[in-house]
Amino acid sequence: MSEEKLIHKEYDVLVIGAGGTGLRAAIAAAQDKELKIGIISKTLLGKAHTVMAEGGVAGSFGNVNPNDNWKVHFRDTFKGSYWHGNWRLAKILVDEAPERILELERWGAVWDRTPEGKILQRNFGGHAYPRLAHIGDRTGLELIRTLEEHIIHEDNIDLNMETTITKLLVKDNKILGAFGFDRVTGQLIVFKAKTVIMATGGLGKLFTITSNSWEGTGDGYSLAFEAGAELIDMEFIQFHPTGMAYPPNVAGTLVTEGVRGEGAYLKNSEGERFMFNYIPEKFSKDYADTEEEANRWLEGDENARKPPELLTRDVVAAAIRSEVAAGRGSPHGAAWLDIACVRDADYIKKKLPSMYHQMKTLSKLDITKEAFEVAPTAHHAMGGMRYKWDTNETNISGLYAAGEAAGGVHGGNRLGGNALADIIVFGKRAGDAAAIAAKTKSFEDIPQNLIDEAIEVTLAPFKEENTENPYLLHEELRDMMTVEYGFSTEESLTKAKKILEEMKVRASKCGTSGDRAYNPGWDQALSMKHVVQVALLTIESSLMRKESRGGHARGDYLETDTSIQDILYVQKRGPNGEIVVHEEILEPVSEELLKVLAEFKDDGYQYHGKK
Amino acid sequence: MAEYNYNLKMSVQRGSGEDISMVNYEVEVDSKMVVLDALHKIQTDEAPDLSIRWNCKAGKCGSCSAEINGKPKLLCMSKLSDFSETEVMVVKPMHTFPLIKDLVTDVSWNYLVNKKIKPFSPPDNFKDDPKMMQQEVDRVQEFRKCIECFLCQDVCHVLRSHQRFDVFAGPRFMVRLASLEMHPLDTEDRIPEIKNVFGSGLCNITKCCTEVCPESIPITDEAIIPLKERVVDRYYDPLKWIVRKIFG
Amino acid sequence: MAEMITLPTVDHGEFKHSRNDRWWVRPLLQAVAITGFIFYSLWVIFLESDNYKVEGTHYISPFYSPDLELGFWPIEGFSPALLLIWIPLGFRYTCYYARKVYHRAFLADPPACAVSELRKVNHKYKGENKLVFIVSNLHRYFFYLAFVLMIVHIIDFFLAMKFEDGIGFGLGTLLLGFDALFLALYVLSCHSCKHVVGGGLDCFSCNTAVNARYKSWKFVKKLNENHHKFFWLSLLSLIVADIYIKLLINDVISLEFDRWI
Repeated sequence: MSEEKLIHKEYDVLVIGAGGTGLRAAIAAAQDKELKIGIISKTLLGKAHTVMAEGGVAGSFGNVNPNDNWKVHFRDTFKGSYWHGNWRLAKILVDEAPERILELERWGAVWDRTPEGKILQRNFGGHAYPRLAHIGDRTGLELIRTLEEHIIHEDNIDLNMETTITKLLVKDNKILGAFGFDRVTGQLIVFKAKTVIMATGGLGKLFTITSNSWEGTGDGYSLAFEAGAELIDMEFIQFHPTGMAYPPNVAGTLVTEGVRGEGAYLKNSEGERFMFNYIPEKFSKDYADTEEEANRWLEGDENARKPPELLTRDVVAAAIRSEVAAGRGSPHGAAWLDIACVRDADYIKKKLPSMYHQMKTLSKLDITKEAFEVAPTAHHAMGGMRYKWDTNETNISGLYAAGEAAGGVHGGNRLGGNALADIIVFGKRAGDAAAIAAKTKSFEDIPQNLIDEAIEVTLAPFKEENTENPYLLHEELRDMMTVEYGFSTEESLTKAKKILEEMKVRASKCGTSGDRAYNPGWDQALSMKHVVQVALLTIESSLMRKESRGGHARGDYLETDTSIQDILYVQKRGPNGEIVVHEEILEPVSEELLKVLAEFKDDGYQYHGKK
Repeated sequence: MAEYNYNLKMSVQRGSGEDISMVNYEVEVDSKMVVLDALHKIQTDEAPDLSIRWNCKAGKCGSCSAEINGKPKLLCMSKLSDFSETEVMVVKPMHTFPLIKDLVTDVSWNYLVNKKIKPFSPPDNFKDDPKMMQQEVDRVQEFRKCIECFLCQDVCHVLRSHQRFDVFAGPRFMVRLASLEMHPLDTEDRIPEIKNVFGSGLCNITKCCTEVCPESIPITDEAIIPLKERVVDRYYDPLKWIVRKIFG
Repeated sequence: MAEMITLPTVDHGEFKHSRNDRWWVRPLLQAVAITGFIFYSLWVIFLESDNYKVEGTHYISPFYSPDLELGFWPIEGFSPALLLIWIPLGFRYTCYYARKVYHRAFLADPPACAVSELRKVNHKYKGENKLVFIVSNLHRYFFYLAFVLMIVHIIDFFLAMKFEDGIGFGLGTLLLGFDALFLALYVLSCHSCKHVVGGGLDCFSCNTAVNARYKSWKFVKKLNENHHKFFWLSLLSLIVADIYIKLLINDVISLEFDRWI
């Protein structure tokens, strides 16, 4: 193995991932000009999955409704997480989000404005007040572009574009760096680093119908798991209720919640506005139960309650599924979403330009004139690497995590707009903490056996005996996960687990042809291992959690079980690569925040089920 | 058009360096698919190492830029129903940028140009009172829709045919410069660079950038021409010119 | 100031392309139309310099508007059209839309999108930084002059309602009206106009005067989206009016037919 020519690079802080989290973390770390920061991007700069975020970023400015403040945002976030989120993280999120949003504005982001010239905020599911700062329906793009434009002027940041990481180099529970290759040239690279930040994003590509882009293969979870990091909440996967349902090759592509935020409503095949039938008791105080009241709300009546289309994502997704199951679905097994009957064409084009464009191009539909079909689509992983609330450090010394790759903030279900807030808030915090830690550390030599192992793993797909087609295996896995996870019972999950164990063997036999330079087959073969591993983690923890809660829906345990609300299933690699799960109890909410929650006592449902 | 299956003949550019050839494939497709789907089928069934750069497959990231039948387009937003079912579809990489392999080109020049643009500079009091009106940010927001697919750079003849990478920033960065220059709160002056470094004078308004923009940004009419007009204000006023000539 | 970066050269030339559509049709048609217009204008200006007014009416060929009747001009046979024709000529030559048309149709630079030029790459392209194209930067000043000319044409339209026997309205009035209308739309939708009325501002809310400019900018911006249409329509209406006036002068069409009111 040692005859392989390796490139060696050294960074004080290595950021893996160049989405919003990674870029924000790198900028934070780069404020210490003595440090050299490296960013690894699986794609080109500014193409990461963050660009797909549409609706907005949550921050309680109270610009549109002055009643909004951090307390309401905290209540909404914590309640939206089904009381399962980490309250410390939720508190940090709601505290710091407004400042992070304003900071982006100082860096050149151009948010939509209120008539007074302040940042305009939009309604979103689960948020009590209009709270999402946005730019039409391309907020993620604005966010990543702003960070990109900022980062190109930071001279101590080095970008490694189109680079794949194949292994984290860890010795004695301490991070030493990472191993990967430059996709363009195919050259193998050893990254030596004092600290590493995992900003690797999500896992949507486990499913056939997903809003996620190509990169969402869950590499980060799997790399961290292999390295010995702890993962939590992997059973909670958010299905966004409104993905495009048709045509099949683009099914899953996101239709922003902003469409409903702007007033659109859902109809079944009988033309009935069905969401009124699906308001859970815990939300009954906040949502309108008649069309008349919902309309008054849309016209700006402060006393009216919000339309039920703006319930949390898990509720809306479940409602659509249930309508389709009852035979009231649209021709392609979906629900109808109608904005044309609520808003005029100019307004739609102004506020939802990319939705208009996307539907026009891909479905040949004019959303300013007609309703269109939407169905749930795999969207966001609430779970991920567990980190310490104050430093974002995982259980591995020097390894940090933030964003979708990390778990804890969103608990059982994430509110729309909280993901973009998450990435800029915790991206910065991870960057700050990693930079401080890097100052106190020195580079350590990476043992040759670790590098040899990494080379072996990386080059495996070129071995002649490895002939499994990674593209087909991926298709097979996604179809299987869609069926077995989509309607999960003890039986289906056990079956999925069994299939995945077989797939794990097949994934290790994935191969490609051709040479190393820009070979997508190579990448696909390598990511299959990750996909299978992450699917296993998801299935394993789904088997553990015998209830339905937020993004975790069990067909055989339909009820939410308050007694296991605080139980956290922590997954870690066993000595032979197997998944070891142990239970932990979430830290109880502090007295101070309990008082805050008590201010909202008309909720009907309270933390720990107390009335 | 109805949904049905047919065999699409594709001729795809393969290879790198001197070793470039057009390879023919026949792919079973349905008319609802996009060109990228057809190429993925080739990857799955015949050529796992066929290089394509792609990401979101929803026209939002701007990765999958290429040339279909000679026209610069996003592979993921080009529906097969818009193309002939019988004629061979020719897919080539972007012509203007150095080829890496197959359909992938090296677009790193663009990032280097971007770095040369002076960043947004808000006024000192911006932190306390960040106020802007929607009517004045409308124009800037339109420019910021850009997904950096670089199709405009690919099609612009100043870069494509004349190879003036040394003196022209290309339509993408004219849009970026316009978004900064027209920002209501920006305090930086970029007009001298726009004329002398980024080469606004090299554009001869042939408007191909606007034609290919997948985000339908009116690049020429709203970004380049207004910038040229601002340059005219500063440099081509005949009266000012005479005064300068006389008084030095 | 920043310096730019170079990239290696790719071979070009000989209209190289991979397009499978008839990309050459539009530039060809435009070239034919503009060539036709140029020859027609030359004919009108140099060979028809005595035939531009219709007796008994105030109809005047738009080529010769305004009717200056300078008595002191010394050169025999000098066409009065030449007095002011350089204004619309200069305005059109420097027009942003016209620049697209002639660079594509006449100079093939480029002939169409993603089609290379005839010549090989020589790295000498200067665009509008050098003569003769640098003149295009004067478009703003031609716009000011064209604006005056536009007013003259509008006056001509009103004059065309005056007949020997009083106020009236004829087909000629209507055609001169079209000429004035499309010229006005062409001039007002000009990119320079858009810049002058408000496009050059960054802040649209700073004071009330600015707000008025914002509104005019929005209006011109709307017009500007159709600038290319007005370019062709104003050319067409100009020729139609001129031909019609020639038909009246040569009695092909009688004044009785012309008069409606």
